[in-house]
Amino acid sequence: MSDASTLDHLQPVLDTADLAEVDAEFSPTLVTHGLNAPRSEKALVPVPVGMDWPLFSVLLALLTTGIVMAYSASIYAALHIGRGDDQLFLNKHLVHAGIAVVMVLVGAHIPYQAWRKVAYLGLFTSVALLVATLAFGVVVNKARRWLPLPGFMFQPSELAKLCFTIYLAHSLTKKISSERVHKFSVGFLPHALAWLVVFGLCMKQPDLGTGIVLAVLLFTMTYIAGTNMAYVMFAFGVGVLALASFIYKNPMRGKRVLAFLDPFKYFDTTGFQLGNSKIAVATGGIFGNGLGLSRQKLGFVPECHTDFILSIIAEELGLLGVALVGLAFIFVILRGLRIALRARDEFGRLLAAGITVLLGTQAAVNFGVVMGTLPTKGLTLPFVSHGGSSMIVLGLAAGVLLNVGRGGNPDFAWPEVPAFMRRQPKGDMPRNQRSSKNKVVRGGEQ
Amino acid sequence: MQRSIQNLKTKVFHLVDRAGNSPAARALRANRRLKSVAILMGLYIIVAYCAAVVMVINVDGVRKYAEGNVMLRTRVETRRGDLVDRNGVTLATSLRADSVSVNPRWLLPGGKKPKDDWAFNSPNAKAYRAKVSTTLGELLDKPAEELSERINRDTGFVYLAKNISYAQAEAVRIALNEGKLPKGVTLEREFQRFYPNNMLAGPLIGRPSQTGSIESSFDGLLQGQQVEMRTYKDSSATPMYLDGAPEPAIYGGKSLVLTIDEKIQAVAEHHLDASVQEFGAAFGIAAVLDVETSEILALATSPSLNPNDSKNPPKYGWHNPALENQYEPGSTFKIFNLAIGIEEKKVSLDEIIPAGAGFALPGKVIKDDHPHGQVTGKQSLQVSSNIANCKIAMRVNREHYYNYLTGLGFGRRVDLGIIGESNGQLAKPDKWSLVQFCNIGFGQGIATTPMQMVSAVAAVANGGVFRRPRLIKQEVRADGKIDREIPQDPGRRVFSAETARQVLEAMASVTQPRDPKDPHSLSGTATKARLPNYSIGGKTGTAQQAENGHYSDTHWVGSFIGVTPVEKPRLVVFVAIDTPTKFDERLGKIARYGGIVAAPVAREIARFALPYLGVPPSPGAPYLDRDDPDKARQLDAAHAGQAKKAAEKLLAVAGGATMPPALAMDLQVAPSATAAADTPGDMTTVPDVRTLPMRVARLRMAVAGLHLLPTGSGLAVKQVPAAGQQVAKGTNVKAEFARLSDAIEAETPPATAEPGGPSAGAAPPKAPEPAKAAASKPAAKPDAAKPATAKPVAGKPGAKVESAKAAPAKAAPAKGAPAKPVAAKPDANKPVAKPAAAKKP
Repeated sequence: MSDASTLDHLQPVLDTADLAEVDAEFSPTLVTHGLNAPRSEKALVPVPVGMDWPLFSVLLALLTTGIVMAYSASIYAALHIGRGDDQLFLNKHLVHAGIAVVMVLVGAHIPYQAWRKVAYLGLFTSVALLVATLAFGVVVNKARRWLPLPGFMFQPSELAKLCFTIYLAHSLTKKISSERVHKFSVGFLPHALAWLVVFGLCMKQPDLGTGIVLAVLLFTMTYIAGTNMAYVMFAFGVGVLALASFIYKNPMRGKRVLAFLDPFKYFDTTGFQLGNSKIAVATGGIFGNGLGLSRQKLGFVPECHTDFILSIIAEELGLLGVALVGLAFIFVILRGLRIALRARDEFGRLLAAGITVLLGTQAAVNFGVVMGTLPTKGLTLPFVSHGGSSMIVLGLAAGVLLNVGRGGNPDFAWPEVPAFMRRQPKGDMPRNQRSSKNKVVRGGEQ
Repeated sequence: MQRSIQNLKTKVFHLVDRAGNSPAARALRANRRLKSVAILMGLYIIVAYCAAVVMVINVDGVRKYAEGNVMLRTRVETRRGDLVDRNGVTLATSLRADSVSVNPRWLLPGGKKPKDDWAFNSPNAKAYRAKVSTTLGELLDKPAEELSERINRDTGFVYLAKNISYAQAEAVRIALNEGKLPKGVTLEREFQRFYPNNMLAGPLIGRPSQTGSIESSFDGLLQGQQVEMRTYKDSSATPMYLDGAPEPAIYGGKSLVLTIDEKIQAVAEHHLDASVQEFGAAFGIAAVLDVETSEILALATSPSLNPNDSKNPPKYGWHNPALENQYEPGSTFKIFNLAIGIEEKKVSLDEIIPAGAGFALPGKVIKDDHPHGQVTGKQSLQVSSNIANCKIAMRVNREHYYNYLTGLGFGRRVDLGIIGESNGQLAKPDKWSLVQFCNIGFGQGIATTPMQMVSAVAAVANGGVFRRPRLIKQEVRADGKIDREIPQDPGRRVFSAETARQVLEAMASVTQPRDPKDPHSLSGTATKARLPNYSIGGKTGTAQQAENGHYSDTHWVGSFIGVTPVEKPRLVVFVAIDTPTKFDERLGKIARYGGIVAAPVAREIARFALPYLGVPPSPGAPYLDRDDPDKARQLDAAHAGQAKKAAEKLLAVAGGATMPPALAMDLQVAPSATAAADTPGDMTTVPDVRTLPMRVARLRMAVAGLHLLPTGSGLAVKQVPAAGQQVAKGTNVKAEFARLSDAIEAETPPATAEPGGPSAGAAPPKAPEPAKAAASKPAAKPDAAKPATAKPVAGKPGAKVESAKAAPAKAAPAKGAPAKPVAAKPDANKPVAKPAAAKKP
């Protein structure tokens, strides 16, 4: 037993035999491998799940459902906008879904460790795009969310979600490695500030939904990384108070909250969307009106092919259809959890956790909004709603998640940076050890 | 043991050592947190789903919103059903007459509300209304000022245009759909009733508000219901026909197929109008009933009314006198009196009934208009003897008598389904006084409706079986499917078939003149009803009408009810002329007799209707001249014998030629033409043109390459050179023609011939007019092949004209005959075929 899992670097805490038992009892994924390998190479490395084909299949199923349902829900809008072309949105949706599948496969083939190298770049890029959106964005429904790229209306806030996740995973991994993640100024404050920047840009559009999702990401990922819960809870409390004051100050938002509480009382104004959504769900019943037989999609549920597609699914396919979609998302969350649990390293775990939380939060908030348990947000149902940016970005995210499951490639390195662009090291020691009190000897470096 | 301790340690480690900071411990904690977060998300999805379940369970609170949200209710006016005649000719129909109305207070562009800067009198709204009125003015082809005056009224509803054309309605509809007009403009689907034939059957079809009319009586069936169409709509209230566009047409009223025949109705109205005008009557009623199917083919009233013209009601108001009025039938009722007498075996046709100058009853003396000493049972009908009929009636048990009358439908409305139909009046028999009973025997003291009379006579005509007449044939749904066929009444037997036959025989005698051979015979009262080719029986009636409890001196109804043909009755024709006022010089009083005022109308209706319905001519019925049937028949007979003689003579002149084949031959290739073919050079064979008319003869000669030089007119009797000779082409062939009519006239006996000649009944009282008689026959063309089978003149099958044996030739052209040269027509030779085929007496 003892020779099976001797891990030298764990020596200070508990002996090897104990750890083996811990592995067996509490975390079946924490199984050592390479039993016959030389001692020096043996490490506490979980076995990745490999390519998660069931998850991939479920993603494809969600995309397919999205194609069918978004077409069904968008026919009315397409006929109004497209002047007789009922497949206007379908064609777009098919292209987007195709790109999303490609992005899943691409993401699944790029070793996830590579994203560490572009984490900051990605965050800056998305911030820059958000700023550009405020400058050059197109206003749709009183919100400046779309950046008109040639042939494509891009929504940078969707990209920001993924980039923020990668950034958080990378940054928190570093903090974990430096053992200071539990400190407020190290483990929480920088990320909160980064969030505040992105949040501020999103609110300027305004896009409260993305800001909320990013906040959830912030809280959950810092929590998973091990930040002191007190900070998290404190920040959460501050955020809630801020939100409350925000709502209190803006009478329009107050009305929306009232409409959320009783949509039929404010049916003609702010409760229109939610009320109609509720009508759709209620008339759908258990088995639904039948595919394509929604009445509420005839201009009653606004955004019925994007954010509120679930209400049309409920009306056409009934509670059974909604249950299937919900089960699919629960499946995605559980598989993402499994991938995160069996991730090869800290970054992988946080990245997988973050992406799972991103997908799960979006789905959960969308469910809650459509079913009237949350106030209305502009959040899509991942992979199902019509919307190219969301679908493609989340497709890439799912690909990254799958790659975490495959274990990535620890030896992956981006191509060499030319010498003149290389940053000069500031000292002899590695940066993460420069100011550390507790010197940690990495397992491989002993 | 050791293992279990280790397990415990590890567990305790996990619970206790939260501050452990090794990578593995951190990993374990991180995983735990990760699990909690992720599972929370899954749980939240489940919670939201449960919210959906709650929503579905508590669906009732939402449903009213869902209904009001998605369903669009529109009221649609549907079409009233048509009235068509038995052949599908439209008698009444509904035309689209859409209207455009606006709600001036909602004449606003989409999305605007009538307040603040879009208030009714705001400049914005005014400018917009001006724009709308211009647009509508163009679409409706009306001056915009007129429209804007209406549009600018501060009300909720204003009609802009009514009864717009279909094209205009479509234009407005398209403009509404394309959003060129605001929602405040409404295009209403409306209909207008239209009667394409105007006066035809006016009182019967009537107006929807008129009593006694089909329109009012069957209003419930005809009326298109105002239906509420429920369609799905989208958020901007545009109807979305998810289940296919609705067809409001199928909710329209039912159409009715009447038993009326448009043509018979038109003919009946025409002749009725003529008679009413000629005799200066108040109004007239005519009815035609098909005995076989008990369908009313025509129900005419004169003067008629025009349902299209609501402003000019007729003198009798918006009524249908033919169904709403009742009258005392008078002598026409004697038909039933005789029938009851025969059925009860109280009288026979040959029984002699004394009918003196008067018949005294307690309180009244029954008199005849034209007294007869004594009449037979049959003659009691023929000459319409009140006394005889009174006597017949009083032989019958009055209870039985009453039962017969109710069996015939008297005292109760016929029930054609018409509202306002009259019941007539028939008192109970125990209330009848002797005089009353007697009066009923000849049709006074009882009130009937025309339809009651018609259906009762139809029962006699139908072998004694009474059938309720039909006015409606079918009910047709708006989608064209036949909803209901109104079946023929199975009927009830009132008289035996033998009784019916005897009564018909008596009725037939009513139209017969006095038979000169029979010293006891009398002339019927309705000789004017006789018509060509068909036998007709009937009964006249001239009834004094009761007014204010007394019989009026001025209010008379002259009527005639006829059955034709008598052998196999097909039609019952009823004509009543109310209050004729024309003074007749010959009678020396007002001509109010049914035989004078009504019978000719019935004759003319039957004259048209019988051939129109394809009724075969009656065997033995003579061809009758339009003006004087008797004379025509006698002339026919006389003419037939003479014509045959003349034709034989003429043919004898022609020298053995066979007439009919020659006449028919101009359709074939002339034999001489084939003969000419094998004759060499320019020689040709002369064809035989004898007995041929000139036109045919000329044709024959031309075919043979010869030229005809005719003299005289008529049929060829001689030719030079003779037939069969070889002559050069272009030779003139002389032919002598003779008129057959001249030959006939030469044979005609002088005008002073003794009456009752051998050929037929009475001799013609005056000089015969063969030309006229001939001209009245169907125009015959010599080139028709018809003469080969000559038409029966007196009902006998056309005898083939044998090759009449040629008598020795005589001087043919009867130039020396005294008769005036009535050169009627060049082809007057034609009638030869007929007389030649005529029967021998």
